[in-house]
Amino acid sequence: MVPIYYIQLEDKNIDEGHNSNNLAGLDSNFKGKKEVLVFSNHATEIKDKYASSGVKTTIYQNENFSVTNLPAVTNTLRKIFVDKANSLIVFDKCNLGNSLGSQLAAVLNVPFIYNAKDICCDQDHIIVNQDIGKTQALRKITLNDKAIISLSCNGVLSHSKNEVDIIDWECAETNAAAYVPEANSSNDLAYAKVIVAGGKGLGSPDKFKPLATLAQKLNASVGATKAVTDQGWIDKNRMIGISNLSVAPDVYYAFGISGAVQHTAGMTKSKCVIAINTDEAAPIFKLANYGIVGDANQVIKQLNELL
Amino acid sequence: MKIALIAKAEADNPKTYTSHKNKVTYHPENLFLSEEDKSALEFALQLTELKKGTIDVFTFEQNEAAERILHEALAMGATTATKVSAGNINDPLLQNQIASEFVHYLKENNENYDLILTGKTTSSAFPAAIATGLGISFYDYVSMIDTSLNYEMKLEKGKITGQCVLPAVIATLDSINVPRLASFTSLSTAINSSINNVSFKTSDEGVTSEIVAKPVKNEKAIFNLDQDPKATQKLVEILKQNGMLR
Repeated sequence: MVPIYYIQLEDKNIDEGHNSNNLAGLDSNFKGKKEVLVFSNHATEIKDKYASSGVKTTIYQNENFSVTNLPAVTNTLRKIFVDKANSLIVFDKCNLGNSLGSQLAAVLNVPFIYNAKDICCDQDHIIVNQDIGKTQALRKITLNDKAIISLSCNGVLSHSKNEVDIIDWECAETNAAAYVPEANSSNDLAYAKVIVAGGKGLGSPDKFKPLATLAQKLNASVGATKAVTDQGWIDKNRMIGISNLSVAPDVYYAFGISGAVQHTAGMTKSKCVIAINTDEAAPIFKLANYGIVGDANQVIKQLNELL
Repeated sequence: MKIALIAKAEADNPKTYTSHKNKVTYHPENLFLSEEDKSALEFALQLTELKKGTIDVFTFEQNEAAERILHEALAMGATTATKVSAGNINDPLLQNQIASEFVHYLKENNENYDLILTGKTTSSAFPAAIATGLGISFYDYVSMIDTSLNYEMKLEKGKITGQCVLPAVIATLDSINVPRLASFTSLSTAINSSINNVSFKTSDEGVTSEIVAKPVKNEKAIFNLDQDPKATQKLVEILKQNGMLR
């Protein structure tokens, strides 16, 4: 089996370059030898997070490291991988991951497949499928040697313990680039890849506790409708809809949400919608890819037991 | 100032490939100069208007699409246009080789560009490979850039800002500006303008990727918990099967 290396950046000052959903999905998406390589300036603070990912992790630590210093990461990765045999290097499917992946592919002279749709691994090689824009075609790429991909894969955190090594890393002087965060960058809901949202169909504020448990299992953020936040069941900044936040997660779970347009206007960019509602005529089912007609609280309880 | 633009077709056009009964058909007649490359060319024009210079446009697209793209670029104000025949630039298995041949061509012809621009239609490694081959700086996902070369690189939750150091390869998004429209006169002139042709021989031994039809997606799956007590379990199975949950 081809060994897989997943690259993450962890900068205590800049919340970019790492994805807990991908980390959760890594173990179940790929068989064979896997390792996470993390570039960080605060290794001791993040060690526990990676120690329960289920995947062996090496953290390259330098207190002067910054996400703005991408050449330092590329140079180090080049030294690590230049002499390694057949391996697959995985970056997150985002601008930073794609940029790093393409630059590393250039210095290693290996193929880079961005935004991989799905991957099939066998003993000797890997087949990657890639969407061709919005067309009805796919590009099917067979990799027989070292290669780099970027992808997004959601999963359930295993919470199994694994080895984490911390290595002191010599990183070249930072360049003159600076980082400017977006206005809502501290709101985890705005950038979440997986969201579990609750509506009035849950019945009462204490029903958000099992929803929060499910969110933890799915490595998701919790959202809500205006009807629920107006009642004070959950904080107002959790509201998704016209009056507050628009989101574009990979997966959106809507529990007890009817699908009023004021809410759906804030989540129509979701790639996949899963709706649970007692009313089979609820508008949310028109948007949903998957769903259950039934009591949302019962489904949340069952999901918490199954996952 | 000497500027090169690598111009490409719009990557997102759903009519570029269609499929019927698992057979995929390519439609180059639907390919035009991408919005991202128009914006990149507009930036190049602003620079040359300010600092005097030339803009050489290259495309690696093939057939009628190549000529259409180059004519559009000439109509907007590019100085020269060159069609490069070198294999499929969109194939990740060929990009490094094609980039290497292009770098060799630039060096052989003493084409010392101050700036090589390309619109970010896809996230391919091609621009990075050119920058690496030439040993020059590379700036990616540039969402804002001014004529003093102050730039912003768009990330998920913010942006990296700085100033570009030339010579450089810069891959820009279409948010950098609103490109000018070519006039009817310039379009007519451009259609009659000559296009240079260059060929690179890429290795016949290389493996290439395949274009296949996308499998037909299943209809949405909605279960009923009252009628099927195992509805939740079935939902979890189908989510795992379809990659929503692993």
